Amino acid sequence: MHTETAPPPPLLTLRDFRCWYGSYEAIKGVSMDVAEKKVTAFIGPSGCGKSTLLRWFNRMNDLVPGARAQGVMDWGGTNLLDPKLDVVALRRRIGMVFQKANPFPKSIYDNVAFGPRLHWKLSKAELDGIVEHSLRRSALWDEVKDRLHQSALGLSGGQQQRLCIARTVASKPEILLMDEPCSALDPRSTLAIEELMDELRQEFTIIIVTHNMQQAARASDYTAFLYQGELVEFGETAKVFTTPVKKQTEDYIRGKFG
Amino acid sequence: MKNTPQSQSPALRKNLDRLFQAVCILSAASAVGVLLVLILSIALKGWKHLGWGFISSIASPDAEKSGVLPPLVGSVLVCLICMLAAIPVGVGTAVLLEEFKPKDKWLGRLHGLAGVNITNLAGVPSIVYGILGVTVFATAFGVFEGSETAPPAIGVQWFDQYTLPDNSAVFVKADGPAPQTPEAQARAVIKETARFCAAAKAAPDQAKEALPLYRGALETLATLPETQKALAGATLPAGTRDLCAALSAPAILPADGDLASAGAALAPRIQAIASVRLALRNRALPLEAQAASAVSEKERDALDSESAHLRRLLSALQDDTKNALSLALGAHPLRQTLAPAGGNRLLGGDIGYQTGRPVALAFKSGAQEEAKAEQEARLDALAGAIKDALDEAREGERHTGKVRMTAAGADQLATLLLAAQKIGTPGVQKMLAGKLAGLDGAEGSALRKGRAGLLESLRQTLASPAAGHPNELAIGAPSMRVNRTLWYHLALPFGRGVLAGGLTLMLVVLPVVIVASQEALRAVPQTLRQAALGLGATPLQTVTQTVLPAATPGICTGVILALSRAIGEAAPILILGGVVYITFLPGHLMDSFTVMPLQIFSWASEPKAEFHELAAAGILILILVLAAFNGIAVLIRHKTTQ
Repeated sequence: MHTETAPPPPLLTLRDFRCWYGSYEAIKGVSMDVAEKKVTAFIGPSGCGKSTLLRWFNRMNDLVPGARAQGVMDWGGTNLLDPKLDVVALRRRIGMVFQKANPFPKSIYDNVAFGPRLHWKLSKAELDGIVEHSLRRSALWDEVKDRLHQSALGLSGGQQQRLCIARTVASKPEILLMDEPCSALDPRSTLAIEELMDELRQEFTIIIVTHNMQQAARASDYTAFLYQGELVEFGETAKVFTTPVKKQTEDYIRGKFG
Repeated sequence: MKNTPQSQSPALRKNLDRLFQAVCILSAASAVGVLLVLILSIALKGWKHLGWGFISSIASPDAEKSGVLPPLVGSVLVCLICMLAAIPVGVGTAVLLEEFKPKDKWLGRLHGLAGVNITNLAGVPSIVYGILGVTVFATAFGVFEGSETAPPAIGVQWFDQYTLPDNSAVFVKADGPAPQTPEAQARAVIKETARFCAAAKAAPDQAKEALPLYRGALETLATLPETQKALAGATLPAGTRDLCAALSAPAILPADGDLASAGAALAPRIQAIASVRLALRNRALPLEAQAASAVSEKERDALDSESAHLRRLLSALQDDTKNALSLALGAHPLRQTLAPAGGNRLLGGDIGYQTGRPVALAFKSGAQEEAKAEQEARLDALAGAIKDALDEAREGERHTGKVRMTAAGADQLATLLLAAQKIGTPGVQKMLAGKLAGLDGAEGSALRKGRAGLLESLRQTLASPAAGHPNELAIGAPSMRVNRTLWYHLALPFGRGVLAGGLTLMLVVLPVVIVASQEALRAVPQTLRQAALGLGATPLQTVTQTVLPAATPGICTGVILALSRAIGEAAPILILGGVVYITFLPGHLMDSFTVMPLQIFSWASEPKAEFHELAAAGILILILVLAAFNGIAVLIRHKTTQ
């Protein structure tokens, strides 16, 4: 914990968090606090465990055979590692955007309406409102408002990823997990999504995994550098990028490895 | 060349490409070509029989009049049932195997084992599924004792069935010691036949007793090749025609409306007619086969004319009996009762080919109304008889001081109770029990003991394998069981009917549906599942709302494959139904049925060329039906792909 200025109240608390895939230890004792309504970026070379860590927050790792964890992962008093936790309800409150845009083979409208339809009983007008609001929040409305009922697969890659963000936002989650959301996108789409994150942080706590140093520097408030399953450095983004404490962090940020 | 070149020359590369393309075209052309030739040859052969008449009529010994309606309806029904059952079961299994993989190690292994086994099941011969279907659906493992009808011999024609046992024995006994030489035997056969025919003509009402003898005579005729020698000069046993006339005389029905006695009078006659027809046909078939392979034209002509004569006689007998029955029933109140209850099948159908069973069924349905009122009376009579028997037992008690029933008395009582049980629906049996209880209450403990003895006797009678009471045969068919009335339309076991057929085919195609659905589910990208789960969808919502819709086109492909297999299956249906030649439509889900492949097989095994043409026409119809079914699946696939 290298934050020196008065930290905002922590939303998520990790203490000595460890996890395994079978006998392979992927995360080796991470302790950190994630601040509310801030953007926290996880950086690190491939295979360092940052995506794994992210996927524990909404228990997507339940789908992976042999994945298990121990330690503390707490969200306002809820133990996120509790095997009896209602993961379906959890995932509604902690939304996720994946590395590869994965719209359903349905219309744009149905994609955005998917979550709300699952969770609430809504009138057509209410649903229309949520869809429009979500698409506007994702800066996609102007591009798709005339073809809401066409297949989402006809959108460009960047549009598809923004649609996925709109789809996640439509369920009104409290935390937004983004797993390398821009890795498959061109610079313009990347910029559009970064602007979107800037917009969304007013309302959501965002945790993003990224390979892109500039993106982490530009878009995040806090940065965590993971290396080989260990948290090397964690602090305010400006500090981590300008005056890193550890040599490893500096080398990675300067592009000497990874 | 010794040195392999480092890079191919452009010309060689181009030629190799061309060669590869040519090989592909050649293989495709040979596959398509063979199919095309096959279909064309079938089409040319069967073309002239195609038409509405072919589709809308029943099979007949006359090739010109023959049609495919019963097997066509049977095939469509069976395939519909098969698909309605196989799609949910198959897709459900595939979803379990693909979407809900257990995390536990041992459960996981079990899961994997199940998956491998299902793939292997696809290769099990369909005849095995037929046997399985008989065990599971038709007889339900024999849990429901006594409700299974006698299993038919496999592959027989409908009119071969349900002959009374030991006919030839009756015949031989009737004639004293059996003649030794074939000639003597044949002469005796003719003599006996003529005698019975004359007797039957003189007194149609007594013909019933003579029926097993007729049958025995005719069957012996049919089974003895040596009889031909004895029959030289007469192509048919003298008197056959007379027998037919006697059998189809309009006076055979009693004038009053008692359905049971009418059925008793009618059904054996129809069975006898069927036997006569069978005998005629069994004589005609070898003649036709000989004619087909005859060397000299003269010989062929002779054989042809004789077999044609037999066929004409068959056809005439059919018309005669049909007309006679129509005539007999015309003024009879039975006709009105029968018409809505399947009597049309009896009147309009190819009656000579039907044995007692459809008649019995028709009578049974018709009799239900009357029987209700009648049962009361019969039960009263029975209760009276039972009371008498008990009185007799009490009489014995008075004399000897012991409650003892004579063996004959107990037998009589048991028989009476058994009869009551047979005619009684459960409700009626309750009434009967009430009547007995009333009797019981009035008497003392001695009677109760007597009743206990009676029940024991009844139990023994019921338990013995030969529990069949003569009354059971009253309407002529062994499959006739009045106490099945209530449950006839849906009961376990399903018997050898349409429903059991469809479910058996379901077993055959299930592995295909499961494996295809599994493949389709595997082809759905994992990211789709993650997207749905990440949005807070439950596993159920994930499967139904995203995975299954995405897998539908692939599942449709599997369904097309499965349907194509189901509609062409003959072996399991043969095992299950056993009957290849049926001249009526299935009236309900438990009814006997046949399917197109069996009808085609039946025609193809006839020696005459006309029937081979019919088989070809049947194949064309089968292909058309399959195309129609698959068109629907293709349509669904197309819609869901968009």
